[in-house]
Amino acid sequence: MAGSIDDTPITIIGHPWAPIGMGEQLRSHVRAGLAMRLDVKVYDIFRYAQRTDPAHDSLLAGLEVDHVPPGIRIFHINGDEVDRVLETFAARGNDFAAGINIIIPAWELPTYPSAWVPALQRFDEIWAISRFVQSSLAAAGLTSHLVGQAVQFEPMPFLPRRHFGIRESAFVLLHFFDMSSYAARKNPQAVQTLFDDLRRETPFADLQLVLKVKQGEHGSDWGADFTQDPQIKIIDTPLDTRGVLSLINACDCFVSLHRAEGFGRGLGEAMALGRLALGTDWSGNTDFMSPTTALPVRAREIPVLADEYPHGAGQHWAEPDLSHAHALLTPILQDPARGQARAQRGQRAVLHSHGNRAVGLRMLERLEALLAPKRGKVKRKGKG
Amino acid sequence: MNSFIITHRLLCAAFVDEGLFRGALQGGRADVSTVARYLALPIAERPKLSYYFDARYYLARYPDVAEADKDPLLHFLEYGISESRSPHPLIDLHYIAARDPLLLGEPATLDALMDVLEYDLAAPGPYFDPAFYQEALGPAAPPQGLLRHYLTEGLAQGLSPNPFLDLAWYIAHNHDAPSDPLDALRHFALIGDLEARRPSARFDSALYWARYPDIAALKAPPLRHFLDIGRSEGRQLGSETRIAVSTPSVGQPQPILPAAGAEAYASLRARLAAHRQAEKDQVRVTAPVLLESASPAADLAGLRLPADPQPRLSILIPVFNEAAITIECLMAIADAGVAAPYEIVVADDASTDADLAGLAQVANLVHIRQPSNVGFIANCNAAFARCRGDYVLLLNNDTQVQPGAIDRMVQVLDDTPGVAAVGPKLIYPNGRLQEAGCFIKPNGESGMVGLFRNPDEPGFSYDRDVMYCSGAALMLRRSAVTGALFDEAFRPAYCEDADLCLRLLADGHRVRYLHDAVVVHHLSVSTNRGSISRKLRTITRNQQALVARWGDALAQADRIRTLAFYLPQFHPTPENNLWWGPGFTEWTNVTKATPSYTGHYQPHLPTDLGFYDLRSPDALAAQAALAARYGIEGFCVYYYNFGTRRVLSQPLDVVRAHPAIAFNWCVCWANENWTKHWDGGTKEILLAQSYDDATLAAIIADVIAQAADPRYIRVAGKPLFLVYRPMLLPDPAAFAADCRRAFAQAGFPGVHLVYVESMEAVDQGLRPADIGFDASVEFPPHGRAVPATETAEIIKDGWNGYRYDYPETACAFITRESSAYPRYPAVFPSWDNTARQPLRGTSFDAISPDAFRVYVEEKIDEIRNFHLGDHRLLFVNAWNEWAEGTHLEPDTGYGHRWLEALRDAVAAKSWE
Repeated sequence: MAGSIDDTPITIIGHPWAPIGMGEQLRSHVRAGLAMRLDVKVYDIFRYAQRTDPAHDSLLAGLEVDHVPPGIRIFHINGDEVDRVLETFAARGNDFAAGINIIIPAWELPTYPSAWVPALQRFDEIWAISRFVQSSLAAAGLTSHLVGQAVQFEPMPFLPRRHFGIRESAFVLLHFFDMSSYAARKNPQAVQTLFDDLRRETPFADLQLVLKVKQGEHGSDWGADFTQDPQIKIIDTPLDTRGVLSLINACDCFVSLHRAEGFGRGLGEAMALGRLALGTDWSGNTDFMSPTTALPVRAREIPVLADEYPHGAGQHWAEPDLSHAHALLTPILQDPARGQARAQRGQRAVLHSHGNRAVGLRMLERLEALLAPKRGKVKRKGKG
Repeated sequence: MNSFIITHRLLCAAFVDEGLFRGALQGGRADVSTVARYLALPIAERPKLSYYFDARYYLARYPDVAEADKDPLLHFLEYGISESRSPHPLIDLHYIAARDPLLLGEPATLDALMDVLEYDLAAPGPYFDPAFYQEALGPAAPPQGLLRHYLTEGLAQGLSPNPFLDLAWYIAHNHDAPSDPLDALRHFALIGDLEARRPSARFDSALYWARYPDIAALKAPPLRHFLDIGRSEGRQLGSETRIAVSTPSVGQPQPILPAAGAEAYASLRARLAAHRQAEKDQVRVTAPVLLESASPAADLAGLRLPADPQPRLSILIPVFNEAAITIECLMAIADAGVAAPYEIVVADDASTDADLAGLAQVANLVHIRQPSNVGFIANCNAAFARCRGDYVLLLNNDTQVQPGAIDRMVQVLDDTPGVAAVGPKLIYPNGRLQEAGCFIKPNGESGMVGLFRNPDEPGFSYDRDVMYCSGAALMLRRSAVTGALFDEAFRPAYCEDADLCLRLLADGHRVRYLHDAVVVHHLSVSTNRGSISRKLRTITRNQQALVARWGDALAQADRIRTLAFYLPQFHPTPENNLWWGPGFTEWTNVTKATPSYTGHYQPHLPTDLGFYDLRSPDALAAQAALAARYGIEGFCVYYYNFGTRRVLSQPLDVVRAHPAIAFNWCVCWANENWTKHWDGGTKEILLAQSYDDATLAAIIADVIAQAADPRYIRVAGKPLFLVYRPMLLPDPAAFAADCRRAFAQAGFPGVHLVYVESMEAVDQGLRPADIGFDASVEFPPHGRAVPATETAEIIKDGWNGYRYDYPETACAFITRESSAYPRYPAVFPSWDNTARQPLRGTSFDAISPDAFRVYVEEKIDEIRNFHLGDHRLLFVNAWNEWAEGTHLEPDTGYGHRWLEALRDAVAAKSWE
């Protein structure tokens, strides 16, 4: 399949319209590809997702195909859905073996689950969204290439704080709490504890914690306790792309005291918008957070306890040091302008390393390598 | 005893009025036949025998009496009195007993009650206030028996039994209330008060219940409760008035409609795009006369170049084939008649074009030929090492220098030691402008100033320092280039020239665009999609490399410095106290403003900072903190001095006395008359601006004193000083010269003098240099306001003001013609002086933070095109012109939205 990148169809496959992490990841690669003038097309494998987000439409309009040609195929799917995806792929009349197939899976622990390794081996190449995921794949015996996710968006008119009912004068900490995910990994309790500690010290500080809550099956009235608390604002209505980015833009500091992240998209997006990012200094987000560009929080590795995470047995993740988080925030709370220089450096750094151009160039480098004449030697794994 | 005898005895009680009895029953109570007549009548028709007894009230109040079909009066006399039942709406035995248990006895007796009522021993009930009634009657008041007087005379005359019950008002406001006063009184006591109906305009029963939920929960009649208990408990009477007409929603937030915000943003962007396309289509230019080489080999052979053993200038031309244009390039140099001794160094990267074989034979041409193709960068570097001139002109082979261009470049390098590189005005062969200098965004992308525009536009017609100029025609001071010319990291090409200039800047040199040196540049234009994409990817790689190397420097060089005009008139002054009344400040007018037409946003009322007083250090510190939070560097504070009388100078005195307040500022001398009309005009002058030597000297001395403060804003090390209306100065140039002299004497490296393009200076094209100034600053909306076209519904009598359209006005300021001199752009969030001119105000419709954001982003682009480094100033009119409706400071309607939009615009431009 040697040829020019401009003469080779490139199809990005997955859940292009889904308001979930894998959808964000796919769309970020579409943006990165377009920034490099790659003629990318998009294929919605399951066609489940509602198509209501105007930002998705303006990105994807005209890119969708209903048949996947040979050439390059980039699958933004997880290991556990490979079988279902490829069944549907074939059932919809596409030939998996006719092209070069790449998969970009998400994962959050140090070793990729062995159960899913065979599924990934069906692909010609694996791309990693972070060095952490790359090393996790390597621990499972899989070679991958670091491409990352892009966190850069088209400029848009953001919604103001008032729209969300966030106090305009406050120093605002923002945390995304996904009730549908495993709470032990996102670790919202740590955010609550940190916030309580800050409040205990300075009870009348103009400080507000905004929790964007994605309700899960349980706890549908989670946060009811806080409705009268002027220092805590719960936002539990679903937001589209503009809404989410506006919310991040409306905060002063995005907080994620996670125990593990595959990439840490929220932190990256906050930095790209020029906001401070306070996050556990462990796993995927360390690719773009440093002490000069963000507020990385010291952490120590601890074992994943039983039932805390799927395939977590025998693995470890990290416990953030709340006293360090506290020490990082205190001077900035005393003088909010102090955090600005760091946030501005962070914005430039993350857009340089994880902007559309940067990710697009890393994609391009791999695609050109795959299309180079000597490519015949690339070993095809599995039955393909 | 039989009932007749009992009845007779009961009716003989003093409670029964002898007069009423006689009138009703034609005889005294001694005559038992009267009793018989009384009892012969049906109960409902029996006459009223006591002023203090109201049968209908009694029956309604005590249903057991009505059900038993008993005579209510007799019931009261026989049983009711001892059971402390109330005989009348105005008499309440419990009320009396609660205040003095001894008065009525236990149980109560009729004689005791009569004593209380006839001799005014106590108020008979909550609804009758003897003292009030007595006062209402004045001299006509009886010596005793006030209640009887009221019931026999006052009630019928419409007098009130207490200060809060106005029966005429009650009748008028309750359609079911009877019109007879006693009937109405009874209605109120039995129904109205229980239902919390208002007894008068003076008492708002619903408000009373609303204020006191405990009373509402008991459903206690509000007036009765107030008079009986509430008053003594210190509860507030509900005395506020309500009017039916709806009042404007003063102090309410303006609604935020996400779709409308997006629309305001997108529509202004679309309008600008359409405007620019039309402008581009309208460009009319004259193509330059170009040399054409019909037979390149022959032309090459005919080329005559000067012989200079010690050239001052080396012209380095990298060549790879393209014989015809290369030879045209050489011919253009030869024809240009360059005065400086020069050599041409052709760096031939192993060309294969036979027509170029003659290069080696051209006399006085240094021909450096690579044995094999080494690529653009290595080829240039090799040749650069062989250049002998003090200056090296890097010249692409697809250029033709215009007469005078090279000499002008040499001259500037000769005259300006700090300048290490100069670039010409590059134009396309069709005559359109290609580049008047370049800028680089923090993301490494470069912008060619004036691309495709008319090269004669004012903005491209003056020399200025730039971040870099294209390597297509760039003259360097050779000694300033350390190491290799171009960095091999940028192979095969692109961004190497930007990197070179950034190295020069980093070493403290300047790069300058020269408007009257003109070079035609073909600039290869490819239409092949694949090759465009490949080129773009190469460029992108090198932009990433450029950022990796220069990221911090690019960000620093691209930094926008936002300064906001600042009004200090928020504290009392003796002058204003005299003219406008004691305590006058800007707030006095601001708070009085009302909407002139439907949808007109007035008044503007502050939120976060409150109605501050600028004598307070805390207020100044809060302003500084808020500005810093949103990235505003400082304030441009108006300064007033009338014949050495300083006015409104107190806030800056406070700032200077408090070094810890992070309040950065510069001064704008507001040199205009103060008038009764707030217009700086010449009618009804309060304080006249004077320009005598003493005044001018005092002003300069004041600014110098302020500039010594480390918080004073500087531009490239020089304190920034603005003059609001320079054309009012008798001799602005002399003033500027005096300023410069005084600042120099005070030890400053100079002063950066800027005039405001306001009033008589709008659109005059007044070159700052012509009056000794360095630059000007826009002062929107002055000069370009676009009238609103949609009709408005006027709601203020006598209004005859002016309405303008915000997005159209922003568009006009964004797309205005460039200036032939440095002009700092300014933006305004809104404007509305209704507070000062209630009937003749000027206001802007369709104000929108989203449109404001577009406005700011566009002005940042303008800054990138025309200003560099420390000069990247963006002014905002204004920080706190509350009475002119333009303030970034938060108000009830928009809160922080203007500040947020400003911050978001700068953030959006901080990378791309």
